[in-house]
Amino acid sequence: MAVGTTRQTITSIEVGKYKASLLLAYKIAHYFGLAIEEVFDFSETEEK
Amino acid sequence: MEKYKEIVRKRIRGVIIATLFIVTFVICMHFFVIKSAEGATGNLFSFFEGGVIGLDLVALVYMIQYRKALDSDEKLKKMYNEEHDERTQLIRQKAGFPVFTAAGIVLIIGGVAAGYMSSTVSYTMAACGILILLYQLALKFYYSRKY
Repeated sequence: MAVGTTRQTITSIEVGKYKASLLLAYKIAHYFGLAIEEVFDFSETEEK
Repeated sequence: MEKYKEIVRKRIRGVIIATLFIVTFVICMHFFVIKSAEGATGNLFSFFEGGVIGLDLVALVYMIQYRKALDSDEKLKKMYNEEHDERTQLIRQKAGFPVFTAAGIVLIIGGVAAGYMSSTVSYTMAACGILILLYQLALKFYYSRKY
């Protein structure tokens, strides 16, 4: 995987089971040539 | 990646040394201890001999995986990603690695040492060690489903 993580982790992020770290989010966004907020949707994220 | 390749080579050397040590240990144990031991003590040592051989086989499987990874850059990268994956690290942390693993192994080794004094204590310690390792395995399975 180009962003240095496993396929299972990407799947977990996609289905919302796992929240990516800032570094991984940055790597994924960088891979697609987009900004983090364009790849990840934070609108439904609850603050604890 | 070259640095990681060197780490994998070091691991292979470690596994070879450990395997040689274990084989020597098992041979000595089999011919000098088990043959002279009687009844429960003999059974106990046979139990640990089986455990040690099992561990050795696991180590050999890891060694074959490492050898294959060294031959292919793609496999090496995949192995590197699996080891450094943040989700895997979180799961391992939640499952109590390395504290539970160390506790389990120490209890099993303690069980072997206690075998020279009392077979009851030895079996109890070994059972506790195995239970801890199984508990950790169950936690790992649970958290890998959760995350």
